[in-house]
Amino acid sequence: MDECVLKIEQLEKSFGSLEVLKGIDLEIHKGEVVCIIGASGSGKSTLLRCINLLEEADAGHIWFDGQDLMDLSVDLNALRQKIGMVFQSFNLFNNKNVIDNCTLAPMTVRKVPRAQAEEAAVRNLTTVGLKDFIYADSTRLSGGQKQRVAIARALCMEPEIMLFDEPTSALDPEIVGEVLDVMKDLAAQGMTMVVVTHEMAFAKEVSDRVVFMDQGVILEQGSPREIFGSPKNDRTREFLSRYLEDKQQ
Amino acid sequence: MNPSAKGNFITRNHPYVFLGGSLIALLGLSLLYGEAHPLSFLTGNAPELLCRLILWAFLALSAVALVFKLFRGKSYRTCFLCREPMLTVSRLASYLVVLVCVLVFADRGIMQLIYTVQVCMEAKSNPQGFVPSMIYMSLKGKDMLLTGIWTTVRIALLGTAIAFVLAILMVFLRIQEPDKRDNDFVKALKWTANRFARFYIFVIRGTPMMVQALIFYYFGFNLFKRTGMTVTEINSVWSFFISGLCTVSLNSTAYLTEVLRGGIQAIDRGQTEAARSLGMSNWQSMIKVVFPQAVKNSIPAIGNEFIINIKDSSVLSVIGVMDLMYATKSVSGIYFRSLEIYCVAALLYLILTWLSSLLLRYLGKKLDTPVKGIPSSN
Ligand SMILES: Nc1ncnc2c1ncn2[C@@H]1O[C@H](COP(=O)(O)OP(=O)(O)OP(=O)(O)O)[C@@H](O)[C@H]1O
Ligand SMILES: [Mg+2]
Repeated sequence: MDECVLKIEQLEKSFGSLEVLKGIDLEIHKGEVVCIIGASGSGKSTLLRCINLLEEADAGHIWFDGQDLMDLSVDLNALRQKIGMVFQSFNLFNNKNVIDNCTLAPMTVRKVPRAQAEEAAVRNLTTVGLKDFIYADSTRLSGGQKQRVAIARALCMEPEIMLFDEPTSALDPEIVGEVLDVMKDLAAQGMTMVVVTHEMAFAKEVSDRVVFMDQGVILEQGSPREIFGSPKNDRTREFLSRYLEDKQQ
Repeated sequence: MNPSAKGNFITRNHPYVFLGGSLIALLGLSLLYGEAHPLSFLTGNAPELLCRLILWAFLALSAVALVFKLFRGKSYRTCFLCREPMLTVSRLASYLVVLVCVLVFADRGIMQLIYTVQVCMEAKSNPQGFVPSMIYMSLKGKDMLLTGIWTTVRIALLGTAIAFVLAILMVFLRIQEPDKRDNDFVKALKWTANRFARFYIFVIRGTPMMVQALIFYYFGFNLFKRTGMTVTEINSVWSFFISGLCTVSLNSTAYLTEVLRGGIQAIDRGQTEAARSLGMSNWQSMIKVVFPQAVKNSIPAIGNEFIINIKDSSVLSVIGVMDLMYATKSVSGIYFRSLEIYCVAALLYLILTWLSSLLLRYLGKKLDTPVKGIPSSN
């Protein structure tokens, strides 16, 4: 087996009295694409946000780069640079244009000189197909374009792993494809990716492993063929069949 | 013909021609029957009488229309008054009325004012009438009032600018929250900063600016006295103006800090989260991402603070700052008339705030930020 990039052990998280994560164990290997599926409210986003400490988990361990992120003495900012995150709501910096969105973090955090940062930004923007929008105002782009800029922005920090939290949920159906295509390319290039998604076709086609979450626990995981073809757990079967029904309507 | 048919306001027939026109005619008539004055050009029988005739004629026509309306009810819309050519005739007649009234206003309004000013300039003593007295005192106290206006504008402008800079520093103290991952020293530092800012805002917002002005002034005065300076020396360093400016600056700092804090809180949390997820520190995401957006959104509120300072700096006259309020009081003391000169002061303040809000609106448009009207006091 490949080297393990991220290892989560017995992660727990509550919001007040609401237990959202009830002991999650998960390993992500290098170059692997893992899709997390599950009903709304099952804790998928929370899990992703705990991984790069946007939420502080209550207990458990997150091993990354040989360090435990739950250890209060780790240099969070240094570790976060290596974990790219793409949000459902894009979260482009509204006060910056497209290229400045991409160069801000490399220049302020890694002190990359402007010329070099811009070169990398242009390269990544070209990869996501936005070469012509380099100097566009980030608030004036379409949703699909915004999300592709967000992906390019994360790539500019040269992360070891990318987390996607429902990257296409806020998009119109016609433009979901352009973002998914970019993600497929990324996967093909060997990027390690954890993707929370409701795009079952994408999960089937691209992922190496599918993880089904329900009410704060991982109920089942396996290859897409196993999960979609012959799910062992009743809940998984129920979720998938309901999902297919919804799709057909 | 439908009254709201095509064409612009001038070439189009509109409803309520008689109502609107007769109101204007009544206004004109009331001016016309007032006293004439030596500068009047609408005197003698011919012009004045003609004007009166035109206005009365229009009123008579309107009266006829009113009678028709009352007696015919719904079917009024179809009577001859609501058909061509009467529609066009009544419209043109209303334009004539407006024209006449403009003439009358120029004569009995503007020329009257010019005449009063002329009389006041030559007057030896404060005239009896209300408006003449206002004009007389404004003219005589012109220099004082102008200096007062200049001082008020300077204090408001400088005070708001200084307060803005201080508020930027203060809001950084205000938003410090100890984090689980900080060491104890940083935690203590953040806690202190936060409590200091809160306390400052609490005190400043909870006390009147007049009291603050007095405290700052005497505090500074006593401080300099300790160093052995004479009163004249102190007055040149810690002048009324300087201490007044300090008061306004420190006072506005508290309010602007809250404005900026509100601006920061209004920025979507996703902005910070995106910055943090890229490895930027809390400070970096604040400086590079959140703060520029918050300041931009706060610009209208900062402009409002400027307008508030124009008005509220009037309390500084209590420590002797020679602003517009102080000048007004002085003029009132010299000429023994209060109501008139305070009305002048109100008018001048109104002009200042109105002009400022126009200017701010213009700047806001250029900067593409939302704007509000003249704000209420703090
Ligand atoms: N900051 C918060 N404070 C309180 N409760 C929260 C918070 N964030 C999430 N929750 C709750 O935690 C539960 C899990 O939320 P989460 O966003 O992880 O679900 P999800 O699986 O991502 O769902 P979805 O598919 O709708 O995005 C939900 O019940 C939600 O209301
Ligand atoms: Mg979610």
